Formats: sequence, structure tokens, C-alpha cells
Amino acid sequence: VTAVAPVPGPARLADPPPPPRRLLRRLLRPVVLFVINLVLLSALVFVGAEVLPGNIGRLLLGRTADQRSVDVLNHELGADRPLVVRYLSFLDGLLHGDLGTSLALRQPNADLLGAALANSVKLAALAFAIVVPLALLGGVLAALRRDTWVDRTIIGVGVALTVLPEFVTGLILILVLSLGLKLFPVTASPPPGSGALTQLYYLVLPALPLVIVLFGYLAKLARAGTITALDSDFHRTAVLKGLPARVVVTRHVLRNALLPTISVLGTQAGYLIGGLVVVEILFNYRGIGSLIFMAAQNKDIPLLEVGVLTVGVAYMLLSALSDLIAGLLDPRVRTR
Amino acid sequence: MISRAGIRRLDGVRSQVSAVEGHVIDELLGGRLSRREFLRRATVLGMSIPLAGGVLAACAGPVPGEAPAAPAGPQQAGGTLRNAVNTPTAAIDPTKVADNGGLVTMCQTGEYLAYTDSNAGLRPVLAERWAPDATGGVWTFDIRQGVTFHNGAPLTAADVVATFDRLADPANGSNALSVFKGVLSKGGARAQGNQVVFTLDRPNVNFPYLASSQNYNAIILPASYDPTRYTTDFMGTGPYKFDSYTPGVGASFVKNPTYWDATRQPFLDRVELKFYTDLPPQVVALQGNEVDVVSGISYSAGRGLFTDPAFTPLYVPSTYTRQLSMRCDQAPFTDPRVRTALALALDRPAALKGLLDDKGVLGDDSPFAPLQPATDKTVEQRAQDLAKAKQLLADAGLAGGFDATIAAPRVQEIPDLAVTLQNAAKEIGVRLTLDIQAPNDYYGDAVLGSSPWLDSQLSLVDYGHRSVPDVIANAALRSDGVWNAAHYNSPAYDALFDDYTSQLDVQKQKEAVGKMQRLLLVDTPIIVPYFLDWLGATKKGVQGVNLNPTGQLDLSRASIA
Repeated sequence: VTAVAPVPGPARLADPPPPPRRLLRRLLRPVVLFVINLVLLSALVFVGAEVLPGNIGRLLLGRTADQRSVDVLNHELGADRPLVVRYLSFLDGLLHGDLGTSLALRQPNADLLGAALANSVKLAALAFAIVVPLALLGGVLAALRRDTWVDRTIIGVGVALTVLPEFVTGLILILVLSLGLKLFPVTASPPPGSGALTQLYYLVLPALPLVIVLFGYLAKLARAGTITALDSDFHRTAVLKGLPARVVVTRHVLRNALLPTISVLGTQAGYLIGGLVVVEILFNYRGIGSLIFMAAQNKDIPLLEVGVLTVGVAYMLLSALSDLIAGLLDPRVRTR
Repeated sequence: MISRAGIRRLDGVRSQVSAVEGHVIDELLGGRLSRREFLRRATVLGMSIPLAGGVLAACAGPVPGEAPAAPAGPQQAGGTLRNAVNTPTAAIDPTKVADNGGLVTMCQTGEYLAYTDSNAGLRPVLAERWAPDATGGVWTFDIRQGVTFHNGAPLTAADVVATFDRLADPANGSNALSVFKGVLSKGGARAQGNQVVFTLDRPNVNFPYLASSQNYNAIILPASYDPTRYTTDFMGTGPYKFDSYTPGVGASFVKNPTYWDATRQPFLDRVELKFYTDLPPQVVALQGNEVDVVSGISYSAGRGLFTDPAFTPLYVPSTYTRQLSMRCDQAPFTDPRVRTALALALDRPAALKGLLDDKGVLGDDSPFAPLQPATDKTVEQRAQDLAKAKQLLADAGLAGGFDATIAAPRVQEIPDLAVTLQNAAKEIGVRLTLDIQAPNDYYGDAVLGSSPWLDSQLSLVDYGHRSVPDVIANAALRSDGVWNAAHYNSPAYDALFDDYTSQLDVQKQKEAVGKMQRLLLVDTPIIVPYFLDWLGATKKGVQGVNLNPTGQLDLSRASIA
């Protein structure tokens, strides 16, 4: 026995295969947009950083440094060149595969970013691995028990926790789970040379505030998607055909309920990679968020640029990935 | 009364010292210097601790303890001490370092000619002794022999000359340039055998402070120093030598088995520094047993540690301070009565208690701190007097009060101090609006005309510890001072400051400072509510950690049980 598919097959069969030129255009279009976005983003960061107060020489040497020393350092770092010259020099380096050097740390940006990005991805992956199944489970359960105390508790608590800033939940978790119960270390950085399991253990506590922030939002989306699916004709047909409830839910409801959730996961993943400044500082973790924060504080524009561009690329790629997954789950997306 | 034996001993000492040092002994004998002040002054002039101790012993009584607090019990050798440190904000280059993280890291391997201890005295380190000429314009330092850098190369006078030339050369962008401005120029230091002779731009009796750890960039480096390679070896002469360094993460150092000072051989095998971006995680790390020591923390961040029996609090008196500048060139603060009224409205003891739990001492509206040797402690302490403050406002034609804005950086307890000042002003009818800004926004370019700190009508700022007041008393209050946020223009003050810096005679210095203190109480261009203690804490079982309010963390005598 097969259930009614959410989208009838003939719609797909009706689409003629795209001619080669149109196919090429369809493939190139997002790539071109991607590049344009990156160029605009890089220009925006350069101009935005320019209006930040102070200059790197003053910021590095401190407010009590002699102005002559500040001028010498700015000259050494090339920070006294016109904005356009610096920007074009940066773009030139980028086109030649050179991500430049951090003005403050005097280290290749590629090295700094590589380590930070790896850390951010690890933390984001763990947070995702915890929150996505939890939120889906919670959302589906809330939808299946719609308007009962189960629904109200899951969604109510989830939404209430969403409004708590990460530094508040992070501090509470440290106080209770680290300092109180001594279950986890207070930092996210394991001793050098630690194995994968130890690294994972050190990352659990920092991941929890992110889980708390994201759970309510994702659970609500999953609940809404599930309710829509439950109210649909194909669900009704599947039930009337006498399919067991478990089969109906897992095979037909979930697939459609996940769609809206998956489409926002891409942007949430981008946030998890690049926007965790507070959590990274609280747990003393060297991620890309705190690296960008430090670069902005020091007006270290080359590092700030490549940091922001990396996060931008991550956002775009993850959004594209979530579109791809949504397409696999829903043929309607593929044909648009 | 000095015994005959004491007089004989003093005569013996006099034969070994210069005329200037002899004068300091006379000041002690005349009762114009306390024993502690004598020791400070004597060490600045280059008198050795044993010699100065001999003078004090001759005057009866033992030498007051100038060394760091003695450990509570026998210290254990070996082990690793883990320290929480602020993440260095830039590549560590000793000539340019301006942040606490960079300073703490580099001072594990580097040493100075002399070390400024927590009592503001000077302990000879790489210089065995020093002495001025009769004017204080030329200072001769004897460089310690038998000291080697960690690569085995001997320390020479040429290394010292190269270090100071590097710092005083405007082409190097050194952070010490502001300290040496008008004092020491490139070429001012020259080697003469085992000695280095500093010929100053103008006489300066406090020069040894400027060549010491007080000037934190003045770590002695090899003449062949290459800033691009420094973080690969942290070359120095200190009790610990380089082991590893990962930018943004941490550093480690191991015991130097060939350390030159037999009396200060390190107990620890290894020192680890863990970098943290903010203070609260450092405190949590100590509580969570991730580190053994935190230093340079604010009271608000560390208050949980100071009352917890699991930790040993460290309080070091300092001249670290806050300063409210009032624009003397902008109405209504052009009238000294208005400025004085605002100063009289503040309840300083309550502010010190409320904001810092008395971890500090009261300020008296001048940059001269009780800890500094030249400060005249007979000058009256300003106290809250609301009736007089209201009367002064009425006399100035402002009985109904006025509106003003107070700008402040978001640094430690400064925003709370701004609120305290706001509430105090309200008591006399003055309505202050707060403008709290991020530090980078607030300091801006740090030059007059493009910095809220230096341009605002009322501005709060923090100044780090200085054993001698010269830099702040000059830059923040002289009419041509580069940090003169009050835009104070007093020829009388300028003349007194010049008089102070030109005096070799400690009593005359003190007289000049006393006059400046009194003048500032009359003119009140600034409000200085308190001087803060430099704070830290260790885990129980850790001993011998020597915090220095300049920012160094001396672990040469530290141990862990």
C-alpha cells in the first residue's frame, strides 16, 4: 500500500528538459550572484571599518602612546594609505589566493582563520547534532498533542528559553554543571593533544546555551509544519487507508513537516559558525566569532575582512545546502 | 637618638656614597623622611639595599621589609603553575607592548635594569647599582656581570644601550617614547666598559624609575633583537625560558637552570599562561580549577574570590586611579567655585566602600598618590560638604543648579562611578546626564580635538600605576599636556611642575608637590576619588606570587603545593 504523494507526479513529467544554454544560465546565475554578494560584502566591511573610531596604531599602542609612535606604526602597517588603495590591494591578494596578514597579530590570516573556523565548525556541529533531533521531536510531539498540556509545555518552555541570552544560560550552566556538580569543565578548550572524545566532552557545555536558544524556534517551526501536514489531504487519505499511525507519521507527515525547518537550518548554521562571540568568550573558545570581534576591536581590517567573508561564504553555502536538501525532500522546490 | 656605634657606622656609609645620597641620609636624620620613604629614595638614587639597610640599622631598628610578603610556610620545589592572563591584543614585541597580556607574557623571560616593587622602591636586577651626577642630568648604571641570555650569550653594556636606543628612537614606533619624551633621546645612552652612561635631555631625579620595570617596555633585549622572531624564543635573561607560544591560546615557560641570581632560583619547573578574552571567565577558571592564579582583575569581577576561603586574595596598593576632568574653558566649569562644588558633593569614603569594598585609598583631587614618595601627606583630605557646595554654586550664580553631561568609558567600575557622581551632583541640584561609551569609541584618536575623553565637558578616565607622578602630573595637567582633558591652564602649576622635576633635593621636591596639591585643591580642574589596589587571587597552596601594579606578574619565587 502506498500513500498519496504530496506532489502529483505528472507535474514533473510536464516539465520539458531545459536546453543546454538555459541550464548553463541556471547553474551560473547563483555563482555570479554569490561572487557579487562577496564583493559587496567586502566593500561594505572596508567602508564600515573605516568609520570605526580610532586607528590601528593608536589601538595597539594604547591611548597613552606618543603620537609619533602611532604614526610610525600606522605607516609600518600600511594603515595610512588611502582606503581605495588598501581595498584594491586586499582584493588583488585575494584574487591571487593570498588572504593577507593580520596587522595586529602579524600572522597569516589563513592560519588564524583555519584554526578558528575548525573550532567553530566543531561547536556548531555538536550544537546542531543535539538541537535538531530534539527540536524535531519536540515540535512533532507538540503537533501530535496539539492544544494539550504537552503542546503548551514544549512550545511554552521552548519559546521562554529562546529569549534568554546565551551569556545568561551559559553562566547558569557553568554555575550549576561545572562549579556546582562538577560534571563539565568551565572552559571549552581541552588540554593540547586531547583526543576526539575529550574534545567532545569539553564542547558539551558550550553547546548547551546554543541548544537552548535554538530549540524553541526550531520546535515551533517543526510543530507548524507537522500541523500543516496533519491537516492535509494526503494525511487524511493515509489514515483512511488504515495505515498504522507510526507509518503515517514517519513516512508521510515528517517528510513534509521538515521542509520549513530545513529551510531555516541553513541560516541558523551560519549563525552558529560566525555569531557566537558571547559563548566563545564565556567559555574561552577560539572560534571565528571571537576572532572577528577581536579584529574589529583592533581595527585589523584584513583579518576582519577575511573573517566576515568566511562567515558570508559559510552562510551562502549552508543556505544552498539547505535548499538542496529541501529539493530532495520536496520535488516542487526542484521544479521552481 | 643615634648611638655612638651608629654614628661610626654612618660615617663609614657616608664614605661610600655620593653627595646626593649623603643628602638623603641627612633628610632621614633630620626627620624629614620616614624610614620607608628613605628606603625608596635611597634605592632610586642607586644606594644598594644592604647599604641603605646599614643606614637604617645605624639609626636603630631593623630594615623595614621591602621584599614581597614572605611565604606562609616552606615552599615546595617543582610543579606547574597555571595562570589566567588576558589575551595579548597584538603580536608581542617588547618595544611596542601596551596591553597587560603581552606584558605578563614577556616578563616571564625578560628582565629590567631594576624592578619596581609593590612599595614603589627599586630592586636592582640587571644593573647592580646606579648613581647620578651632581645635577641628576647624567646617570651611570653598572651592568651586572656573569648574566647570560637564554641562548648562552653574555649580557653586555652594548645590549643595554641598544635596548634604550631602540626605545628612544622615534623611528621605531616604541611605546616607551611617551615616557622618554624630554628625558632621553636616541644616542643618550652609551657604553663605557661595564657601565652604561645615560645623558638626559634635562635633569631628572626619577630617571631610575623610567629605566626600570615601571617603564614596562624597557625589558633588556640582545643588541641583535629581531621583532619578527621574538615570539619564537622570547629571548631574555630571566628565571624562566621559552617553551611554547600559541597566539590567542597560551604560552609556557620552563625553569632556567642557569639563572644568574642564586638567591632567587625558581621553585617551579614550569609556568603556563592561559589566555582569556575577558575577566569573568578567568575568575570562573580559577573557581573551576582550570588555573591556579588570576591577576590584574577588577573588584567587580573577582569579588566572589575575595571572601571564599578556597582562595588567597592578593591586594597590592597602587596608584592606579580614576580621574574626572572638568573643562576649565567651558561654562559653567570656567568658574573654580563650580568645579569645587562638584568635588565637595562627592562622598569619597562611601564611593570607595560601595564600588571597591575599600580595596584602595582615598584620592584628594590631584594625581599625587599617598604611595608616591614626593606626595605631601600633610595636605588636607577633601571631604563631602554639601552645604559649602551649595553655597559655592549660589555664589557662582547657579543656585538652581545646571545641566551637564559626563562621558565615561565602559571600563571596570567606571560606569558605576559615573552614576555615583551623578547622584552626588543631584544632592546640590546639578543634573548630570551620563554618556557611557565603548572604550575604543571613548578614547578615539586620543588626541585633543578627536577624542571624547579629551574633548568632553566632563570626562572620566583611568590611569595605570606609576611609582612617580611625573607622567600624569605633566600630561594631564600642564597647560601643554597631551592628556589635559580639563584644558587646565595654570602658569603657576606649570612653574611648580618644572620646579619639581628639576629638584634633586627630596625635601624641595616634596615642597613643590605640596604646593601643587594645594593649588589643585583650590583650582579643582580634576576630581580624583580614589586610588585602587591591584588585585589578584590564587588557589590555596600557591605561594610567592608577586603581583606588581605596573602589570608584571613575577613568578620567580612562586611555588605550588
